[in-house]
Amino acid sequence: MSRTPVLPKLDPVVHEPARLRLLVLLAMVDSADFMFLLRQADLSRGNLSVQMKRLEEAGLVTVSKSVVGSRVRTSYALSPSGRRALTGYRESMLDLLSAVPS
Amino acid sequence: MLRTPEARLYRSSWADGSLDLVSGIGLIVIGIGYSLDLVVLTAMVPPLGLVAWLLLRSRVIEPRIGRIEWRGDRRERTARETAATAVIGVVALLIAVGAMIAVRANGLSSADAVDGLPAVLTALLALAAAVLTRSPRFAWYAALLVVGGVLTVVLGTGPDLPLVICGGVAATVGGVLLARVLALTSFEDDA
Repeated sequence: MSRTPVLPKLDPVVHEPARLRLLVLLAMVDSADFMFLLRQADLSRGNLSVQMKRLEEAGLVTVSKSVVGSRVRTSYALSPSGRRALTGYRESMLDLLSAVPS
Repeated sequence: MLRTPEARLYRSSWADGSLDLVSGIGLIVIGIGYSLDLVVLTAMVPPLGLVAWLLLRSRVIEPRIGRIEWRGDRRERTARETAATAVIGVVALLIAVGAMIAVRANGLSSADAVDGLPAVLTALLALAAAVLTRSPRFAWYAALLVVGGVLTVVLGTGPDLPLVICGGVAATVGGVLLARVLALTSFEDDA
């Protein structure tokens, strides 16, 4: 028997539930601002900031800031490597779950 | 139930009630315009309503629910459907105003079948809005307008009544939906 693992590995940065939701949200649009992600991901402001920082550090999202009136608007977009990571995660997950009998 | 999360997300982006509120108030003003014979007033409502809606979205709603840029395919589809809705709206308005002017110029009675025309034409616009926003409540407004248009002819009331009634319903629904958005915590600078 081969010693190579049969089951695929999941990217831990993508696999975390809050980050996965955020990445999928960003995959559905070109870009989204902080308030949109806050409402849709149902996270606290602090938790969202931490998760977005983690995704930014991993190179999975890009960040841009703009001033709108008297407010600072922070917008996020999925980076090309983020899109690849998400696609790879989906393939790994599909492969993994195909082992589960229905 | 819409099939994909993206489709559900798109529909939810129209659920803030601002379009219902502004178009409802617009219908009420148009109805009052008809009743006071200020038909020209009706022509001013769509552009003023559009400006009011854009301001409401950008100043009040987006700071609370956030802003997104849709993907290219969605943007193109929405642009096509918005253009089609605008064309339907302009044509409906021109037909309604033209018919009313023609009828009054010829001295026909107000119980003439043409009195139901504004409501039925507005119903077409509401149906287009239902398609554009993927929101069934606009189809209900359309149904209400058609019923109102038919009753206008049958009962011999003026063309203003179904517009004012449906406008009141849409504005009330929109007001309730918007109140829910405003109940969200006030916005601050992003983290």
